[in-house]
Amino acid sequence: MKKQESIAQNASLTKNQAIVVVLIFILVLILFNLRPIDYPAGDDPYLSLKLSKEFLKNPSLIIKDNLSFSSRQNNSFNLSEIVIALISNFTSVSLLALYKILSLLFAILSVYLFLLILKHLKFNNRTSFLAVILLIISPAFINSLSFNSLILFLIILSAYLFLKSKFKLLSFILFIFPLISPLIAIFSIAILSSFLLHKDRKNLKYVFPSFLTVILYAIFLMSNLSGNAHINPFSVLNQIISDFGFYPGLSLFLLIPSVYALKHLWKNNSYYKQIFYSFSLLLIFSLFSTSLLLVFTPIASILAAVGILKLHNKKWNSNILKIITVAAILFGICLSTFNFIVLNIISLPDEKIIHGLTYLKENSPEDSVVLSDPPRGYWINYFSERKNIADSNTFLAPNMKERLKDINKIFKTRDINEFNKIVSKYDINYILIDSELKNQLWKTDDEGLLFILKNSQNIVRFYKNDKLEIWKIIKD
Amino acid sequence: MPDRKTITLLILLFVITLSFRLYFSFQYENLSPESYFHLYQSEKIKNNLLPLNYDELSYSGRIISYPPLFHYIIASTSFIPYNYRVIPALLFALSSVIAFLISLRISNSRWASLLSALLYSFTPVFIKQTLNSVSVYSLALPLMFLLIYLTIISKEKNVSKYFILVSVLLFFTHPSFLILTLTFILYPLLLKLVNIKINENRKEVIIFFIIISLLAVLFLFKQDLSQIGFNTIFQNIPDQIKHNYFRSVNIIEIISGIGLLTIIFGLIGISNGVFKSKQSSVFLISSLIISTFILLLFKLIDFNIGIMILGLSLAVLSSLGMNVFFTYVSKTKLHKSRLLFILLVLLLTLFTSVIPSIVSASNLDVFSSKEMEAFTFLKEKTSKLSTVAASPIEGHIINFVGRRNILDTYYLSAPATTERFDDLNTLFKTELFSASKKIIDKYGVDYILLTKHGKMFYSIEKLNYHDKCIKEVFQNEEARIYSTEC
Repeated sequence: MKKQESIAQNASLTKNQAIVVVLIFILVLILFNLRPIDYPAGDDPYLSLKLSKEFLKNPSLIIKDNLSFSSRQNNSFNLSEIVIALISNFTSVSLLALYKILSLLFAILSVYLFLLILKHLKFNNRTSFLAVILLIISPAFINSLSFNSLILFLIILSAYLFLKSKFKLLSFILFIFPLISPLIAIFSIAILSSFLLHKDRKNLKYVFPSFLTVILYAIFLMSNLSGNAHINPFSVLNQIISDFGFYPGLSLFLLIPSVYALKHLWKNNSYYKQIFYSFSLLLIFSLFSTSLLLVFTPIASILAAVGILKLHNKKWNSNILKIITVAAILFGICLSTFNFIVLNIISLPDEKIIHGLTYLKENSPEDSVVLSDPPRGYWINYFSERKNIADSNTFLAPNMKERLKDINKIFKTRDINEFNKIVSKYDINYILIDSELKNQLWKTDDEGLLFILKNSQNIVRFYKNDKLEIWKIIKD
Repeated sequence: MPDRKTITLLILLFVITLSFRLYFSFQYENLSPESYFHLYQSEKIKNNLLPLNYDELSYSGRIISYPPLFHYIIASTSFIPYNYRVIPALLFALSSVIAFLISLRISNSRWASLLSALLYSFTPVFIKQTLNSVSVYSLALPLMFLLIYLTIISKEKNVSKYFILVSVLLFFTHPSFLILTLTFILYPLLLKLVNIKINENRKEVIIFFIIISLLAVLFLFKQDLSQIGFNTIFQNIPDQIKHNYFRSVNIIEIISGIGLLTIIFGLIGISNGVFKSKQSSVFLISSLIISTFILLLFKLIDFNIGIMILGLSLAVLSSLGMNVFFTYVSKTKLHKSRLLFILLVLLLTLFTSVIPSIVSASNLDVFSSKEMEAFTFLKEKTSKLSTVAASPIEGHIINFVGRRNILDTYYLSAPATTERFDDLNTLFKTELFSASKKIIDKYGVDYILLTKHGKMFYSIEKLNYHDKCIKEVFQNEEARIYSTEC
């Protein structure tokens, strides 16, 4: 109760509003944890889990990852994974539990800081109330509850320190930020710099240390990597708008009032022009990396709250049009949240898949190579501790295009010679197929790879439950 | 309010349009292939009261997400003989009245508006696309233009309630409401360019429509969005026919499809309304034209449908062009010959719109009776739930006679359309029985249907492979059916 009062006081929320915010946060948390297993949905969290786990076994992982793409230079290691691995080692708390506890903690801190920002920006309590709710129910925030709320916290903390003109502390935060998430850090720094250029040039010097980290990080990457950068903007287009694919992107109904708000704020203050440029820039670059949506979400939540209230407070000639329009926007936002939460509950991996992957770990040689669809790559690395052919971390991956082409070819072919050629090329020992992949790729058991698995004498079924099949390739 | 004479002439135009449509429609024994999709869906609604969510016949089993209002209308009017011909004709004829009302608002001239409604009703591409068809556009187009009209008169009392009602009806009719969404996004931008302030009532209905239409998209196409995401806008059309389906813009086709007089007066109307009188309602219709043009340019809309909407929008705007023309004439020495000019315009309408419409109406490409005999054979002599391989355009007729198809032309939510299109191509064109056998086994094909339309589609005369497993079970001059017996 004391905490609620404190929130209310600091963020200018009324006591009842603060209670509602806390209740919504708890509700989101409960719904998010309706997942039948402790393990998170999707594949991204398993990269962090794998890296922390492997770091404890072999610290040289910072340079080289022997499991991803059957062995590659590491480009995704970050400071938080090392720190969490070390804490886990000293406290004996499991990595998974530690990630969950820290994510929740940083999520709560993010919300608190967000309220302080709203207070600093002198928004009235209705706007603050709506903005914080929009943030809490946004798919990007909910998704961050599983693993990356530290990044969200750093984004909001940087903004808060900037607004409070605490540049020395900001300088320190921006110095370590690139070590945790280089791409998001670069954009956060770029946005803050643009504001400083616009408003407060003399303090621009405080951003310099972060540039130093970014440059050092870039030199580290360049010296270690040999692959090609590959970006496919169209494949991530669906992920920007969560309604188009139910990914943790932005709700279309959060974007519309945001644009409406900017249109109105534009007239009043050139400060908002700066926000508009940042907003547009982020949206464009989100095409290349959806992780940037995390920077976008707090800004969009504030703007959407302003936009919705502007629409609501505006004098409409038709009251019924006003009620339906505002209700539709709020309903659309809730629908995106609902769809995302449902997707989180039903998404793989589930218990049966984890059982199969653990079975593979316990019953296969340590240097085995496992073929599956790239989004299953981190699971193979984390649960089975075996090498994959490819995973979702395609940035600067070795022969990435060729590998994806070969994987696609092997899934589609019924030609045993073509199959054998690819198996020898990557020294594949096991093939992993789950029910979702099966439904995506094949309609009948006689199609493509399924035909070969059924008819080849050199392939035996190694493991099977109703969600997962693992096939073993017997080599001469 | 139009005077009695105008109302009489408008009723006459309505009757002429309806009679024209009914007369030519009844000249054909069979409907356009697409019609059978709507008849099939309506039949299901009639039997189960609910629209189909899962169709076990189309694509041999697939999820269907189609706004059901039109199917409910056809199903609920099934007590009227030939309702599937009468109702669409009635709705199309009704839309000419809406065209008149919009034209009257734009031009303020009764004569010009009547002529404009005449041009609208006899737009050649409109006739060609919709005459012998149980077309969902018979409901979608009047609703679209009615919404435009309601937007124009949004200042008047109680209009917002009608606007809400018509919007909801349109959302439950056809996804073409998205053209209007784009129109309503472009409209304020166009007005901003020329510094015209949009009136508050209009702004309200526009904001309402944009928000609700996006919500409607999420509900109607939830399945497709979750599966193919943003690519839903390409409607899951097989790669092989994307080029034909979304054709490049061809000027000659546009002129012949819309009618020269409509284009000339339409363009005069646009230039006058946009540059001279700066009428915001002209900007609204111009936004519709630009939206359609953008969709055509990016190949996001079927070519014929795009041209049809362009033509109808120009026809509505032509009233302003005609009014400008008649006003100009009245200021010259020829002012005494105003009636002569009206007759001249009528004559030109006859030559550039009515006669081409009659030619279009007389030469529609429909399935012949001989071809339909093959479908009757399938219905009567084959077992229920048999799978029939045929060209995509015949898919809906196969479903209508109660048999499964491999592919039809409703691609949204359908499984592996590109792969299926390829497989059917191989099945019909290959010379190797082994290749065809693979596809027959893959889809469990029981019969292969080859009609005159199928022959044209695949550019073949007959199947090029022979095997004891492929037996001809039906043959006439225009269709053959083979059974697969191994």
